[in-house]
Amino acid sequence: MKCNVAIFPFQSHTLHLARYFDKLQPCYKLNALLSWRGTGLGGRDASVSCNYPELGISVSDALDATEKNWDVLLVDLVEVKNPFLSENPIHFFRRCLEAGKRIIFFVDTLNNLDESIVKLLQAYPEQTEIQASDNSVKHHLSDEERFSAVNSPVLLVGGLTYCQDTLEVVLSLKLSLKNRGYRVSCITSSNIGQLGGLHSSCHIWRDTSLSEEEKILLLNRLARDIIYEERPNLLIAEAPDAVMKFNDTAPNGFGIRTYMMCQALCPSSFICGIPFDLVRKDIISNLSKKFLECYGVEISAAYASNALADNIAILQQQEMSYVRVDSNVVTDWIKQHRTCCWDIPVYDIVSDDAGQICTAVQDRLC
Amino acid sequence: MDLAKPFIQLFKTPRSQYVFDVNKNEILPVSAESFSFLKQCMAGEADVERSEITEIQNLIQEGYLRTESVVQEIRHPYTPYLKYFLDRKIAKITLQVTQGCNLRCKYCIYSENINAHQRSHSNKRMSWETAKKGIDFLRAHSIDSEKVNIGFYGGEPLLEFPLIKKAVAYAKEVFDGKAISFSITTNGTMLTEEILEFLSTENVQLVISLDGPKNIHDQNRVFPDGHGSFDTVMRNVEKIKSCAPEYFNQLGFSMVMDPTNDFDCINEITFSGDSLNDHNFVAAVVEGDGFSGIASEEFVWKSEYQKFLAFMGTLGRFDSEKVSAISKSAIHASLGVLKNIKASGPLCPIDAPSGPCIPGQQRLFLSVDGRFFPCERVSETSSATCIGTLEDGFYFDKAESLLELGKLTSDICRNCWAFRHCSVCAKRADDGTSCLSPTKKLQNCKNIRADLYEKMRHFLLCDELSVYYLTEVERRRNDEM
Repeated sequence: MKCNVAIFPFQSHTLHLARYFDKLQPCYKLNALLSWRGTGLGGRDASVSCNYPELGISVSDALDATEKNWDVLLVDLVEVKNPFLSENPIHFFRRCLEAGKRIIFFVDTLNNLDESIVKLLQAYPEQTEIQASDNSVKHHLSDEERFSAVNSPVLLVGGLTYCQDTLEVVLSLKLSLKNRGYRVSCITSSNIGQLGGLHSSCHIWRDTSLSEEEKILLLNRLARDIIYEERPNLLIAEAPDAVMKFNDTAPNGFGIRTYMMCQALCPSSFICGIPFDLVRKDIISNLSKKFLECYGVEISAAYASNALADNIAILQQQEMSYVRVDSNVVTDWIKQHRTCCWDIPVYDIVSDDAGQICTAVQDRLC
Repeated sequence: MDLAKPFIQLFKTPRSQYVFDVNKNEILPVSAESFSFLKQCMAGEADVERSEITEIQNLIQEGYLRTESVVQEIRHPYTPYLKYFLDRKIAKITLQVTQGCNLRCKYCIYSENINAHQRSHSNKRMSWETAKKGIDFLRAHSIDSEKVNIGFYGGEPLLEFPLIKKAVAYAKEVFDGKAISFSITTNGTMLTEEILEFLSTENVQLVISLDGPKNIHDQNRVFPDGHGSFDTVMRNVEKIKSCAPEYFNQLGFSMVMDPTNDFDCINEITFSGDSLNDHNFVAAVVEGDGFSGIASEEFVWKSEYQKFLAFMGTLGRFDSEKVSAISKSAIHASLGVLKNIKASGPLCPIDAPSGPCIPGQQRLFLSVDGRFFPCERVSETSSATCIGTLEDGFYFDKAESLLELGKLTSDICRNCWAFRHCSVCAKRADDGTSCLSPTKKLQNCKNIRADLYEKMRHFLLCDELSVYYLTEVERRRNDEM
């Protein structure tokens, strides 16, 4: 019987995990999503966070440790660090433990753990557990092992301007391909993705002591360790940042991390998330050519995101800013602009069956 | 060759000459010969049939110098998504905690004598219930905003200090975990030590209205008995400096300039020895339906000279400590516009003039009685600018009509060279009736074009510098900050 769990803190990108949680998780049943009061999500369906179709789980902002509908709290410790909180979350964790709940913490690395968490782990050893993304796979390669080709087809999933629901695509593809009998391994930049059986590259990106060259080497080793252990038909890699800069006003990272990931993994195919209002044949073709030049891979398929860039805010604040429109706006847009002569297939990730994207890419990959 | 009157604007700097192709939204350097020819075309004096200038011919071949605007229909690109911006991405709410004020400024928007269509002084106060609902409204409508701001406005907001305290405490509670900031604009006469301690503890961004040195400030900013408020304000500024020195450093000033005065006299306040020149001054020229003051010669040329010094200071060619804070702010605003010029694209067949913000999304204003307006600057007596109420929510059709301001004067707008960089908003088209007025809107065009012309000339002057020069200057300035 599955154990009832709650995820904390719930944020918009956690929605994607929540949507596929029960299908991906053999041990846990997702019963609650807990968030800060300030998100404005309290009492509302979790799907509101991304303006997606209804999920059926309301977000709670009460942080009630005595709540009966969950027994285990799943905590992303990277996301818990929030400078705008009035109360240290450690107090909530303590209340949960005192109420007899279990807590599983997810971190990027066991190095540099916060002292208060260490004390909590020591005080409640039977009720606490910690999982680090840098331990998600055994290190089969020696430290002397140099860079080597990744011996598996690699599918890169990235968003044009970052907020393009890449985790949604990674998870839906994983499930869809699994249902077709394929073994699929995934590397994401999300720490709590471990809950969905995904590996994380979070610890590599967050380690400021590493040079770019070392990060590329570690990514390459991570991928080869995963392949050695899991023997997948396909490795799906989530791009760690926007795949290209938005404009000169809001450069948003220039896709440097994605470039490093491509150097490490040499993807053979690329699924690109694009804001729905940019889904046009000529734009996608030009983007594909550009990606071939800079990353060595063309766009195999594209999907439309409901995140609309807020250009007025971007101009004023010089940082990326979005608003989420209804998924039916995206659906209508795709219908209106989808033509039979498109070289690159375009999907609506929320309304279309992920199987359609699978079909588009599986022949080239698996 | 159809060059009767190309859809362009010409610019000349001391070093070069340029054509701004409105359709392409590009500024191109051209030869003196081409410039002269285009100037004749604009005046309707050129022998267009005989134009054999290679540069002109090349430009035409490349699609430049079209005589008609490519814009066929005025429609704002965000109109279909207005609902989502207002449902999910409000960034700020300004609470009008009172309509009362302890001053009777002569130009004040509340004064019946000056702005017939504006509000009058009244004793209306915002109830706690309304303030609380306003904060809850912001919380429910800011899911896509990473940070939010709550502003307090009046009348004189500090007349309602207990309400402000309660609202800040409540907002901090309900926005727990989200970046939230507070701001207040005050006349600066009511800053007691208790209030100052609260504002500095809560890091409320404080903006004080200060119009200049005593003789200037006291001309307009007076108590009901007619005596000036300058001494009171400056005593309080000193109090901030001594009680909360760090908070003092963040203090901002809002200045309403009366252009009938000498600019240097107004500017004296920034060099008065009160360390005010390090502060941010946001200055605007007094306006109002009844205000008929014509700018004095001393105001115009002296303010232009100070702007020149500020420009040189920005470029590191003049000691920036000797530059007026008022002019510095103006130049920084210009540099912001330059970024927009570079970042915006060509005109499209369906397009809208820039200018209107998404009504209510950036700085939603909640009046004492629970009505919504796009910002605190618009009139709350005309129903044209009311975009909803706390009870009913947003009136999307009203908000849309403000966003689609360009449709009021479609033909004129789509043929205006300032289309892409216009700054007119609903406030400028509000004549106090139930609908926005095209006539009122068009009264602003001349000034807006003149202002844009100056900013674009600044842009060209910057552009004539070495490519990396301005970037380096900006970097150094940021490092210093």
